[in-house]
Amino acid sequence: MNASVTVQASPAAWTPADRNIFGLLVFVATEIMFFAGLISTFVVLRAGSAAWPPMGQPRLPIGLTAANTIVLLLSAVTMYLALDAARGGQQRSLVRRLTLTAGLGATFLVVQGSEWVRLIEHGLSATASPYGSTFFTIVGMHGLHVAGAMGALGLVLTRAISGRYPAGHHGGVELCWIYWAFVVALWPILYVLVYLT
Amino acid sequence: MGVLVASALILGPVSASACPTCFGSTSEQVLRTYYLSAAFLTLTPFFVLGALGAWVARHDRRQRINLGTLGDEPPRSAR
Repeated sequence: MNASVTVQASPAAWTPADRNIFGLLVFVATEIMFFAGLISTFVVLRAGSAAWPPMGQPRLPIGLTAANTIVLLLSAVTMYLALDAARGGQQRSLVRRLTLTAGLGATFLVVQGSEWVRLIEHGLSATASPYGSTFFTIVGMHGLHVAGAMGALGLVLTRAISGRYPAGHHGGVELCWIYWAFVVALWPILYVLVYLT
Repeated sequence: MGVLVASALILGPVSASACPTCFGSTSEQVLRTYYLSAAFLTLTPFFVLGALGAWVARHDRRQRINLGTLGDEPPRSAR
């Protein structure tokens, strides 16, 4: 009896775009672990402190940061709408929505930066107490991540302006959306933890 | 001498708390927080890897549906 064997390529073969997304998701997974470590450190140090914030240390601006949180959340909406425009091949909408996202992201960073300057002027120091060091480390690392996402967004926006994302070729916008969604989703958790608890 | 060292290692171990703000603390709240944060850090990788695995499985299933090959696999006994 003869037996024949047919070898087929995997029907679920990954495209380069799929591999890019998977690589980014692995990177985001490492970032989640990084921030999990920071959150854990904050919680333990805070539980070990008799007073939080310690005597003589300034209070954090809850209201202004809440408004800034809304700005960042809105940027996720505009970024998603940009992805939607890219999927539909709407070039002008894509550029407009990416620009709006960049504007909201820049507003968030500027407000955070001015808040930092005011807190430093009021005596909040990274070396004076765990309160200051955890605040600057956690909020600072998140700010750096937003700045990194802004860099990626700037690149995507430049490419969108030069018409590099025709319909069906929106891989770059999708990657940018995933990372942007990560930094935006992370912030409310950090805000509640650092500012409200 | 060797027997003495081995006996000391087997019979005389006591726990050593390396971190004075954690296990060395006398505060019940600090200890509870420390245990919770240890559990949080232990479980997070499982959730993260689980989510990544779920994405891969979902992607694979979508690809198979798009290619119309879902359910085409022969039963295990026929392979």
